[in-house]
Amino acid sequence: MLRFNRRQSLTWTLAACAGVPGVVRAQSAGVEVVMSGQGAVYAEVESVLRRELGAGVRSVSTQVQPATAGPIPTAVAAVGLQALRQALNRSTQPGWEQVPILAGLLPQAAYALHAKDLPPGSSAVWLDQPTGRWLHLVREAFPKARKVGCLFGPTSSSQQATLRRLADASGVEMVAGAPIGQPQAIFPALSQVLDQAEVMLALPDPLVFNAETLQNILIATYRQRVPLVSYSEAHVKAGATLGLFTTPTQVAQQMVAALRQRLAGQALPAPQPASLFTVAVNDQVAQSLGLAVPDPSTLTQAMRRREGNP
Amino acid sequence: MSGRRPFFGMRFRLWVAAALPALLAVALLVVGFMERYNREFSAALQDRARASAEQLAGAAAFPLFAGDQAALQRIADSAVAADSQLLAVAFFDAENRLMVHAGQVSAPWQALLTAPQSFRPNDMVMLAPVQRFEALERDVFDMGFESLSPVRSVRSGGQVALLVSLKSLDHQRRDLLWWALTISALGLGLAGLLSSLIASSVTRPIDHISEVVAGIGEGRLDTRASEVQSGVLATLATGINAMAGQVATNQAHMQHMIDRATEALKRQKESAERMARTDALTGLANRRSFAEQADNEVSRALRYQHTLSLVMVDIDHFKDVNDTHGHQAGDAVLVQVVQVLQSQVRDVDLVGRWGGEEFVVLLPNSSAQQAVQMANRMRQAVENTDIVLDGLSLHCTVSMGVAELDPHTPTLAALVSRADAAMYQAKRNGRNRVEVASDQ
Repeated sequence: MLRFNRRQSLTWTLAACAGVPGVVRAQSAGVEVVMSGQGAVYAEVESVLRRELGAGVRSVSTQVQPATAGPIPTAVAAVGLQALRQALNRSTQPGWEQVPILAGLLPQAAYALHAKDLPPGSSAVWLDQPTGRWLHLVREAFPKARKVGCLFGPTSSSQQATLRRLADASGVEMVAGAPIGQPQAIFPALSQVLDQAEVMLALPDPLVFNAETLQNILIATYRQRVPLVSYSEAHVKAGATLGLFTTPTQVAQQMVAALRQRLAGQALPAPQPASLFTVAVNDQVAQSLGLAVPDPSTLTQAMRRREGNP
Repeated sequence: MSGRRPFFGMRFRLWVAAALPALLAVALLVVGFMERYNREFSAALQDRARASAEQLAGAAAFPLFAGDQAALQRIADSAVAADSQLLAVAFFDAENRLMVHAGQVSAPWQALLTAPQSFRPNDMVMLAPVQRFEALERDVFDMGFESLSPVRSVRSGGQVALLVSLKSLDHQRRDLLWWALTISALGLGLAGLLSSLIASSVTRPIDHISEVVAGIGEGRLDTRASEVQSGVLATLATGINAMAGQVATNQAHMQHMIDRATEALKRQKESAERMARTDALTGLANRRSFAEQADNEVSRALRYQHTLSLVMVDIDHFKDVNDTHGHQAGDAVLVQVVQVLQSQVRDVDLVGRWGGEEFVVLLPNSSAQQAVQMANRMRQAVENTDIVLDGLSLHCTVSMGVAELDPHTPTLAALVSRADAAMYQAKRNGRNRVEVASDQ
């Protein structure tokens, strides 16, 4: 195994010297995968990475390898925020400053906190959906809806302008609640939105949508008979009508694509929202609200078509 | 009967001996029971209060989230109205600001949160947070957001505070205490009755046996304890009966011995008295005894003016008989002479030994003349009598002096003196004669 690694190292060192001048330390072929934990989610990601990258995955661990131990990998895949922080800490060590980190399975907001400190060439695969995809889903699931409500908290407020622009472009009116800075502001904003909206979007924001608020938001939307379209599969199980999210497997697949580029000697692609997605429908809630929502696969295909990716 | 009081005392003591351990056990049971019941009831009340608080928290979750004060007020009002032990209900928002309240509190409403202990001991404050939505699964987004500390710690819930009266606890505690005491008293009463009955099975025989013992003590030795009445103490009764029997037997035996001793003593006394009054050799009244009887006769003769004569008898030459034949022969002569004299006198006459070989014969209702006749008969009889002793035949005579009681000197001494003088006169006149005392 050791011998194999040395041989590989030599090959990649030559390749790296040609492509990235100035690197003096030997680089090893392969990706060091760092996990934030050991749960089922991480096992799912690991399984996809190993299956798709094969020998390209040099190691998988919940701890980054010591800075001075062994050859330096081609890239570090940090799965989750904790893993990203570990990789980030190590990246200041000699020889590691140029090793790009690919962060995955984390929200864009969390990545944004650390983006500027990452080594050059680093990138991310966010859990967040591209803003336009929400509107695609609304149009497909609720073709008659003309007013889409949304609550914006500190984390999601950055998407407000984009969403409004895209909504306008697609002929839908966006009803935004007053910006929410504290929990007490949620209900007034929610009431304001629910008074007008026909569909409500839940965009990731821990202040607005969390274990303490979700039930009340669900009750409020249900009472107003406004279907909730959420970013979380758990929300759909709890009572949201529709869900639009990316599974760990899909995240891993997207990471695989990025890492293949890197292993092929190219730079990582720029940070990007989730390219793959899953739609979930809570049929019972939809039925209770008297809605005829198409089945998830139909919706998914239709959305892909809208994204130009059938 | 003085013995009855202590028996009541014994009965009471037996009852106490039986009831005291029971009393202690009951007291311990009541205390333990109260303690346990108190704990459980307090816990139950607390559980109920917690359940109510959680139920209200659940019901208030959405109105609190929605800031729906009217709904909160309705919830609070109906909760207070529905439960008499619920004194007050208050809802606080996430910043612990009072939203609505119902009922009455004795302190500022905010004290429910800040100083819940100040309501003790009369009332109890129960707080419940408006609950998180625990049914929500953790999402991958949540994992990512958990590290974003500024937003993670924000809470959107609130709290519900209940003020619960503990008066019912006091009431129930008091009721329970009374109940326990009543039941205990009834139980002890019943136990007392039973133990009294059982105690009487011991005290009644003791009573009976005591009466028997007292009777025996008072001397009724034939008193016996009944085996039936002695009950459990039958063995004791049998023992006491045996003892009483033994005592009775001993006493009879002793009485017999005493009687015998008394009789012997009496006989000894009589014998001594007789001996004191009788001459041992002849069986005649001795000088003292004769004098006493003769005095009586003198008195009687004077009182009835009867005649009374006395004969003084002296054996002639008696000293010679003694000297010649020995005292034994002398004694035999004395005895023989007396027998002759006695054979001659009447029943009413009194013969006595005056001393040595001198004898006196008192003759009631006899004049001097009649006495002389009697004396001569006696003298003759002695003279005619052969006294045989060890093959030796003796012959003896007597000299006699007769005197009749003189009314001028009516004393025995004078009578004897005159008869004695007459007897000496007979001696002087040749012996074997009878002389009469000269008239006074």
